[in-house]
Parts: sequence; C-alpha cells; structure tokens
Amino acid sequence: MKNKFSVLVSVFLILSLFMVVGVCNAEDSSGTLRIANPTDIKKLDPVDIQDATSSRVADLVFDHLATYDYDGEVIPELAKSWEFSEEGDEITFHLREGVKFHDGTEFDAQAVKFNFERIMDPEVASPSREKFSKRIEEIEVVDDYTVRFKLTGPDAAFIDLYVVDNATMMMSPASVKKYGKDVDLHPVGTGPFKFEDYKQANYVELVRNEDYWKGAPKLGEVIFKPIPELQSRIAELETGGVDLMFRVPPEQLENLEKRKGIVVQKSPYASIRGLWFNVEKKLFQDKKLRKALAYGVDSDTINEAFLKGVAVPGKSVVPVESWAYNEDVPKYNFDKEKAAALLKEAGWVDENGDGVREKEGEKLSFTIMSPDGRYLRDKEISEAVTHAWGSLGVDANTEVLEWGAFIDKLFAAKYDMVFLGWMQSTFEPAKFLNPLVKTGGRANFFNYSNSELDKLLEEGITTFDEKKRKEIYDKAQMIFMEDAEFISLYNHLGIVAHTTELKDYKYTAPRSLDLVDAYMEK
Amino acid sequence: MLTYIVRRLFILVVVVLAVTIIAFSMVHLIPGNPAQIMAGINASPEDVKMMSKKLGLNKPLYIQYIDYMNGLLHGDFGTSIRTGRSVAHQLLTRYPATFELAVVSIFIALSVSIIGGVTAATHHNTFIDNLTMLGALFGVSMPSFWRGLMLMFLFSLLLGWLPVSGRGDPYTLEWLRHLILPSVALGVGSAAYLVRLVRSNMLEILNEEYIKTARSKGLRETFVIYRHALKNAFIPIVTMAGMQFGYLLGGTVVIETVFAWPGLGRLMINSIFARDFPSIQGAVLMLAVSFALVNLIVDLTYAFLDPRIRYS
Repeated sequence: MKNKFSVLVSVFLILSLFMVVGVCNAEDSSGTLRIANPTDIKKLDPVDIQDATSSRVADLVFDHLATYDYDGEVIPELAKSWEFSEEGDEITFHLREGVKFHDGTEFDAQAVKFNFERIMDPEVASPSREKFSKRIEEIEVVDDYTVRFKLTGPDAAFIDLYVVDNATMMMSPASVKKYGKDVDLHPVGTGPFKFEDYKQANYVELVRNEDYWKGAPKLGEVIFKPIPELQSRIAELETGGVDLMFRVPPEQLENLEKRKGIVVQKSPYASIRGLWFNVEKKLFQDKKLRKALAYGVDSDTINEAFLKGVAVPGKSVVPVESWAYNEDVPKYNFDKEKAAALLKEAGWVDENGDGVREKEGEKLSFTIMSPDGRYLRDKEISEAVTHAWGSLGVDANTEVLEWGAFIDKLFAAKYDMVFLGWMQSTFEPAKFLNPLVKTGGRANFFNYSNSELDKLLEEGITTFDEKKRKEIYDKAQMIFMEDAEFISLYNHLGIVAHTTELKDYKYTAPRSLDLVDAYMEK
Repeated sequence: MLTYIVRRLFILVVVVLAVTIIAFSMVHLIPGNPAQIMAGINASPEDVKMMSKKLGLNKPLYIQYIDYMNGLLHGDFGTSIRTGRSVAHQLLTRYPATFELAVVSIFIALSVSIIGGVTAATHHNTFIDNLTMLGALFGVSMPSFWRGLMLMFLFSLLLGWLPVSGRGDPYTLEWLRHLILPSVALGVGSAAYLVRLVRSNMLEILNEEYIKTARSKGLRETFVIYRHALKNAFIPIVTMAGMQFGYLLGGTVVIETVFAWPGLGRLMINSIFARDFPSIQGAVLMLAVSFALVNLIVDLTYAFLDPRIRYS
C-alpha cells in the first residue's frame, strides 16, 4: 500500500510538471488563422450545405460563378461576364479561362453544367432541388468557356437567387466521380484554400492554394475549431487560442470592444426578425385585431433593453439596408391607447371584469410559439411582448420549443403566432418577399395570401429595369405591411471579434470571410 | 467464476436488446422530423419528402427497427442522418476521447477521495476533518459547468498555463495539457461524492475489534489504516466508483461542451437535437455496454477484495 501511495504522489507530480511545461510550450501561429465556431461542420458537399459553419468552410474551398462584394453587389467570379436574352428567360455565362480545380482538372462549361444538374438530380436529393428544378429548364454548353441557361421564365433576380447560392459552389466533377458518396469529406473546388484534414468535433484544416487564380492567399493555413460554449470561445479569443470568432452576443460586446488586442467589426445582416400571425386561425383573420396587437408592441424599448448595439429597428419585411427597403410603409409605433381603441372597435371588450377581453363569449387568448436562442433574444422578447399585451386585456402566452419540435409545428401550421426570422446572404427583396409572403411561397408558413401582392411579386421578378423594380417592391411592401400580418421587431447585425494580429481582414455580412489578402502579423 | 462471467455476458446481450428497443421507441417519440431539420426552413415539402426517402425514414417504424437490428448483427451501426457518415466510425472516433477523460477523472476522483477520506476519518472531529467535509460539500454543491469555467478562468485566462479548450493531437504532450482541466473538473466532482463515503466507511471500520487487535499487535499505524482498514472499507467505495465511472463513460455533456472535448456526450446531444436516430441509438448502445461491463468488473473486484466472496 505504501508503494501505491508513492505511485499516486508521483503521478500528481508528473501532472504538475505538464502544467509547468505547458507554459513554455507556446504555439507558433504565424500564417495560421484559427477560427472559433459554435458548431462543427455538418456536410461539405455544396448541394447539402444548410448551416453557417459548413458554408463558411466551403466558401474558402469553392468559388461561385458570381459573388458579392463587400456591399452586397453582385460581381463576377468564375464567370467573367453574363448577359440575359431579350426576353429575359435565357442567360449566357462567359467563363474565366485557365482556372483549375485543386485536383488539377480544368474548370469549364461542362463543370458548370455538371454542378447545376447535380442539384436537380432526384438521386442526390438536395434540399435545393425543387427550387432549381422549377427555374432551370435546360443547360447548354455552347463552347468550352460559354454556358447558356434556359429558364422557365424571365428572372431578374436569377444571379442573386440561384447563382450565389451555397448549392452552386463549383465542385470538381472528377472528384464527385472519384469519391462518390464520400465526396462530402473530399471537397475539391477552385477556391483560395484546399481542404486538408478534418477531425470530427475537433477541427477542420485548410491550406493555401498556391495556384489560386486571383493569386495565392497570404495565410498558410486556416483552422476551424468547433467550440460550443460561448464563454469558452471568448476565453480562447482572449488567450490567443483562436484569432477570430463570429456571432458576438450583445452582453459581450462592450467587454470585447474595450479589450486591448481585440478588434470588433459590425455589419448589417440581410435579416428580419419578428412575429407572424397564422391567418389560418379564425381569430387572426381580423385585420383590426392584428393592427391592434401591432400597436401594442414597443419595439423601440425592446431594442433598447435586449439588443443594445447588435440590432437596428426595421419596419418592413425587407431589411433596412436593402436598396428596395420602403421607408414609407405603415409604421405601428407603440401606442397603447390606439391599440385599446382598435381592440374595442374589433369587438373585444372585457365584459366580466376578469382582465381579459371577450367577444361573443370567447376570450382573447392565444400563444406565441418561439424557439430558444435560434434568434437573438427570441424567447425573452416573446415573453416581453406577451406581458405587454397582458396589460391590454389580452391573454397571450409564450410556448418555447426546441428547434426540431418548433419547425415540426411550424410546417404543420399548428400555432397561433410565431417568432420567426429570415436571413439571406444579400438584400435582394425577392429573397424575402417571394418565399415568405407570396401565396404558396416555400416559407409562407402563415397561410397568408393576397392576390394583388402576388401579381406585384411576379412582376418584380420579370422586370429588369431597376427603377421600375424598386417601385414594384415599394408597393408590395406597402400592401403587405398595411395588412399587418407581420410585426417587425429588428434587423440583426453581424458581429465578429478578432485579435489585432489578424490584418487586412474586412468583415461585412455579404462577404464575411474573404481571406485572400488577410494575414497574421507575427 | 468462468460460468459466472459467461452468464453475465449472456445477460448483457438481453440488456442490449432491451436498450435498443427502448432507445428506438424513445427517440421516435420525440416530436421533430430529422429530414425537416436537415433540410432547414428553406426547403420545400417536396424536397423534405425526397430526403426522407433517401434516409429511409418513409418506411414503417417496425421495418426501420428490423433493418437497424439486421445491420447491427452484421456490425453495421447505420449511417448518421446529420453528417451522412458511418455511425460506427463516429463512435470509434468519439469513444476514445470520452474513455480517456473518464479514466483520468476517476483516477483523480479515487486518489483525492481516498487521501481525503482516510485523513478525515483518522482525524475525526478535528479541524482537518471539518475542512475536508466542507470541501466535499462545496464540491458536491458546485455545478460542473461552473467548476469548469472557474478552472478555465484560473489556469487558462489568469495564469495562462493550460489551453482553454479542445483535445489537441491525441497522445502527445499537447493532448495531455488539454486533458488536465476537463478531467480535474470532472474528477473533483466525483471525488466530492466519494470522499464522504470513504470517510464514513473508514470511521465504521476503525472501531472494529480487529483493528484494535492489529494495533495491539504493535503494527505501524499506516499499515493498520491502509492494509487492514482501507481494504475492508473498499467494497462500497468500489461500487460507487464503478457507478461514477459508468456515468463518466456516457460522456459528460456539460464538461465536454465547456471544454469543446470531442467526446460521446457532445455527439449524443447534437444527435438528439438533429433527431439523428442512428447516431443516438449507436451512442446509447455503446453507453449501455460500457455500463454493464463496468458493473461486471466491479462485481469481480469484490472477490479480489474480499476472499469470502466467491462466484459460481
């Protein structure tokens, strides 16, 4: 037993020694950028990418035909230029010559055709299949560096909606043939970094593509580390364990901004957050009631209390930063008296004095369904809103659901009201209005339908003149917000924090990880 | 003894079968469709249907279960819905991380609790005893995530001695440095439970007649305590430590999350959120087998500790 005791003491001494050795074992990080993400990658096959982390990694490995500049304007990438046919239902891309995939094969028109057709292949079962199949009729290879898309109809937002999409990152056709189902972990693109290694839940390692067609990036390596706990991500950033982190939450903003050696960059996201009425419910088919409830939400105070510095108030279903944002949409500024008057007008009166309004013997009672942490302060804001409505004689409750259960109910339309956000890579209005509010739109979970609005949205897509498009979308937003189907709460800002050693890195939401010029200062 | 082990292993098979049925039914009872979660809110219902078909989720539940069991018998744990990769491969990469964390933690827990418990018992009702018990109370009351964050704050942020998170390259010096904080955070928690058990058992045994006899024979006090008393106090400690070890092998979600440790616990929680049925089942199965094996080993240890116990 005495011997065993000595063994124990020795092991403790050895462990302590490792702690001390650790101090002298500082890692050399020159040329390596380490990025902390809250989650691990899921799939790196572009046709399957649905999450932010996989998208960030893939963005460095692959290129698109076109991309966004820092302001969210479309600019050419693997395509040098493109033009629409007169009718607007055909688009021809002229491709960059001499670009090679990481496996040495040539990027050409056949590769473009292959990648787009792969998204639409039922065997591949990509979540983007239906969207693309409904829009693209045929893809024709005109010559090695020219490819023509025949569309099912004119589409002024085709580049925004279909070309700069996660699914259309250009992947080497040879790699798909070579790796088959495993291509997901052997991503071969034309991008600035090559995929090197992946250890599940540990790291993804990318290395510089020396032959990158824009010129080799300065960074030698980029490593993505999944660190689920926020405090740990911040501690890693503060101790230099990582160099860059995304999604800085409001409560940490001030702390990080004040900290020496750390830089915080902000940019508006193309995002909207708010409360939606399920108009399938008889209760919410009354516009007056919807308006009354909208007047009962003090979005300025909510912004001030919950989202200081990380969000901007938005009034429409299109983000404030969009070229199509309509300043003049009906505003439902907080007005308790007006809300009460409208409720009364709609026939909701508290007759029995129990504090809750009734109409024809039915109580004004419903539930807001909210996710927990999916959107900034979703649960807290939903609870604050139900509380505020309580003082108007509305018996509102919040039902907080875990994401899987939440979307189950959302798709089945089994809810009264919902806290839902919508985020896109750019401010193109068709990316917001068409899926969310058009009759039968793929994200119109609210059963909302307005034929006049539908017509305008059709017109918006087929109109190529920008000025006319703006007018159309102005009108569309006007109609939609007048209907008070959606209570706009905020537009979210994208916030990143990085160490001062990371140089020449500019963050904006449409171009969040451009690392061609960035480098680590030793 | 051999017959006993064979019988226990046979029971293990029955337990595993029961676990697969329970796990399978439970995960299918949670609301949420994995294809829908995978496809996100951007996908159309048509795409979700197609994805369900691709994942084999459109088949009736009992067919899915038979398919799963059939695969299992052929050593195929299925394919993860979330990542599209083999579940067996996922388990094999995650399990070592959890295993090493559990082994080091239980080692820390046993060392701390034996030293602490014996010292407290031999210094019964003194300042040392009270201090040890206060420490144990503190340890039991401290939530593990807080313990983890405090350790991180002290050793990584303030002193800069140890890395904040991650596992490092396995079986290198870097890996050992990464292992220290999470295993101490876990080990101290288990130690807090065990130390009280060691102390109370020791107190009981130190009053036994045979201890007095040993002392009256003139044996050295350390010999009396560690050879005569501790060995006899060990059976409940081993039982409890076995339970703790089994619990640690299940992957400790909180500590693995705080320290971004790529173990089974994190795999399990991510799989639950994604309704990744094959991964959840695989992880639960792994956990059940580990737990049952640890229990078997604990039972066998009794015979070693107390020669009066014999299995037949």
